[in-house]
Amino acid sequence: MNLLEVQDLDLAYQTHRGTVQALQGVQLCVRPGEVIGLVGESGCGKTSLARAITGVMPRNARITRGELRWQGVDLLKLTEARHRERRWREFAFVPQSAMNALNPVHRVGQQIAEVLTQRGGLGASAARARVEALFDQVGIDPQRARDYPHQFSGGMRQRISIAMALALQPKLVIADEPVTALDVIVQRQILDLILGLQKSLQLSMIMVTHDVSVVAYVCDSVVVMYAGQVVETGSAAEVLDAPLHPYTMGLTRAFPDLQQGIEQLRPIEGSPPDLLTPPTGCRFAERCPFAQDACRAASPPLRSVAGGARSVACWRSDEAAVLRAQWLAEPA
Amino acid sequence: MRFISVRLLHSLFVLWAVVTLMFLMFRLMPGDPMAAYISEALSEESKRSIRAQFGLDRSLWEQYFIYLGNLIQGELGTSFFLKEPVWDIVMTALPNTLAMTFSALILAYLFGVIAGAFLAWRRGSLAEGISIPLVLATRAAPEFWVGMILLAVFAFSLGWFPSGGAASPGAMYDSEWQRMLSLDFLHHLALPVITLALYLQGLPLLLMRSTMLDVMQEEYITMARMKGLSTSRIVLHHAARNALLPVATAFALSLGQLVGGNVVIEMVFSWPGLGRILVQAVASSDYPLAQGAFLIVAFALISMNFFADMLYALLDPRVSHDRKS
Amino acid sequence: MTANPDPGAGLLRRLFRLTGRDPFALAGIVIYVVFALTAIFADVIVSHDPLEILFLPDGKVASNQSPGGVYWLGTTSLGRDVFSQLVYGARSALMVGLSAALMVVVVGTLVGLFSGYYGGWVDAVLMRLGDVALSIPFLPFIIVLAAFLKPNIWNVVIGVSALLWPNTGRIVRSQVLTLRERSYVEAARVSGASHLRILFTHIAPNVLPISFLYGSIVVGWAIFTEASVSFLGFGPSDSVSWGFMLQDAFLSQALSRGAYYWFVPSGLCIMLVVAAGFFISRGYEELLFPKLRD
Repeated sequence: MNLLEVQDLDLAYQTHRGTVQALQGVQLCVRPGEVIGLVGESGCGKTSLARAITGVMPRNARITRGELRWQGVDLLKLTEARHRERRWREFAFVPQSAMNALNPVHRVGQQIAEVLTQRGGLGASAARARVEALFDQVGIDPQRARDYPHQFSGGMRQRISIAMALALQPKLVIADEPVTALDVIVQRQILDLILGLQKSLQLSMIMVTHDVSVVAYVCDSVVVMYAGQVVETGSAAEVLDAPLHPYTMGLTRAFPDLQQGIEQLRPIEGSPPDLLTPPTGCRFAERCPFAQDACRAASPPLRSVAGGARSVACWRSDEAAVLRAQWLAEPA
Repeated sequence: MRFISVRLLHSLFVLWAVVTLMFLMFRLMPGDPMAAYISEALSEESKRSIRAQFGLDRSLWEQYFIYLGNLIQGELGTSFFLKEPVWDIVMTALPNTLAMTFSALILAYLFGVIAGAFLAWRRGSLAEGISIPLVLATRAAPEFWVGMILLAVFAFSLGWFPSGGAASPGAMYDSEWQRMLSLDFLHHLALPVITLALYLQGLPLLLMRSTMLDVMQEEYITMARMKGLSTSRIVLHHAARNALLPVATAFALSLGQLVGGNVVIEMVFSWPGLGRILVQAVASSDYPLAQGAFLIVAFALISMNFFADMLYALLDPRVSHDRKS
Repeated sequence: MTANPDPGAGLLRRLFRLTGRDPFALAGIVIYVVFALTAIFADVIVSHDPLEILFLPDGKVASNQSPGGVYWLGTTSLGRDVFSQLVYGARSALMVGLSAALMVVVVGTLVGLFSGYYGGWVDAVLMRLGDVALSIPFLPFIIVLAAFLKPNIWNVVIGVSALLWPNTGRIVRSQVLTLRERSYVEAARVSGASHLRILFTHIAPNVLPISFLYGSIVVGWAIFTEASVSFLGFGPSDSVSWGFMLQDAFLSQALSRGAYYWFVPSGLCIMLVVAAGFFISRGYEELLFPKLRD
């Protein structure tokens, strides 16, 4: 059974300028032990989706439609208390910036121990022991549990965040841009750590990132988002090697790949549409080099292709191979 | 450690500057420089001994050093009119001031912190929109005016409280503590404390609300919610802990400022504290007493500023670990 | 508070939007205008001289008259008209408030300009001076000043300015530190402009909006302090201020007689003017440094 199923999710933010449609018709599936990359540029809704799963959203956020099934139970229909019970025990969160996510006036060990005593039912000494074990697991000297967040480097703080996420042995870990704020060398170390932990603990993971090379390195499958919608899904290898959606094509060509060397880079021109008044047609049409009238007229649904292993939301998906060649051939 | 010594040096410098300023003011004032220490009413003998003690016939520099030396020993001269050592007079009045100041601060801060946190929680409500300007209005109203109204209503009209002073006539006590804990004293203390607290609560209320609002936006609060912690734990253990930092510092700072700042309250309620001593001394040109009272007040202010710094460093580990800000 | 480096930009446009959004700032402006007009046209508004002792038709002194008829707010123990005193009080309040604010703005800005621009020992000395000024107990100092100077309205102005300039000075200084590195300053230096010229023609105008913000806060404080000083008996006895009225009432046992008409209005006026000052400076601050609305 799927660990997590997101069905047709709509999420909106009420701002003083109006209602911003942050997520629309989002579909997502996470199987046990699977690592999913959630890719897209800033503002595409990936963080909103990640937070919606945990149930901790900004005050002005409203889920207007859809289901969020965790092991069959729709979290959206639960009371806050019941939802809270599952938090951290079933699914945990690794934030982007650990400096801001850790309370500056509490010692780091104590912040992890807090989860163990308040939610895990452990006594003080058992909690302390487990904290030391966790620190070991993530590669930090257990003696440093008594230190404060500002005494650690960025990379070490991320390790602490990871340790904290693993405290109650969750089945799913959602990591929101866990390495974006780190320099390249430390990025690699943390990603290796995450890979190792995921394998040994058989965790499911949702890795939210805008960096395609991270997806290539760590993820089994990938979900590409654009302007609040899912535009393509599939296994990481297939999507990155042979993208079906023009946006994904742009993404995969816009980042230097650590493993394959720098190919000809082509950033995607333009910027995403204003989600206060989303366009009626395909949301990518304005920036898409292959857009036709049909694209601007109606928004393409997310359709399964290749026997259900992949899906894409594009009217011209069957011409994908041709379009890919065209994209590469365009002068920079 | 270095942090402490730097701040200490700074405070000592400021203290020295204020003390010197006082010295110059009283010496350079128009008229006879001796008039700061000697009044015509004294006998020749007293005049001579005071001249010797304060070196009034020597050069300005020598007088200055004698002055500093005297200060360190707590020698502040003798009051012209009360004929007693200034130190004694000041020290008798100080407990009264402290009792009132401290009680008012505690009351104001307790109320302010709770109300401020409550208002932060109810962000954007109508209650908030009205209460903020209302609170600003309490800070705009002169405390002595509010005191006068309360006096007129509760003391004169309704007779619930005494109309002034710190004790009913004829009361005798064995010790200071017994006096200050007596019902009579507390009865007299009530109105001045309420008046002062009404004025003071605005600051902790607005400060607490503001810091709570900031803290509630912080990511570690979001993380705390994601960790599934209960609301009470988040508010008390995470939010309040951070939000109280500035409030605690403000409290310590207020303590220092109020040793002298509640002069008007003491006058309205005829409260026998340091402020009233200062006013009466100035009004009657009792220079030694005026200077002594002022110096004690300044000393209290500077030392409380120092302790407030220390308190802040203690509470915020980022500061005490000597990080370059 | 991250300072908008050019707070003057778009100021007028924002001013109009602000008065719509912030009703209290608007109320503050209205109050200020009303009191300013009262102060200016005091002679026309009042019926009697504020210090003139008035008499009843039967020849006796019109003391402690309740409000009504000729005496709109009643009379004092000495037979003076309360309403006239109230109106003239606005005049002294305005004078004290504006003078003190102006002095603080001038002193604070100059200090901030020189401190921030020249740095070095000039900065060190001025900042230490500021530390000392901030460490002096406010009201007690002004009282002690009164011991030496004759009771005068300017005591308050001088005392308030002497102790309140450091905050303005500091904020101006940090602005100057930023502005100093701007390219137009560099350009001016290269073109041979003298330091003073750069300071006053290029940097000062950008710093003034902030100075005036602090000045606007000082107005309220000055009026408040003047009231306290007069109440304590250290104010001038030849002119009428609201603080003077409160002292007069207090010493004449108005409290025990329940003569609310005497002491309530003056304090109310102080409260209104000072509160108006708070609201306006709050609105003004929002104008200079608009906060993100959530």
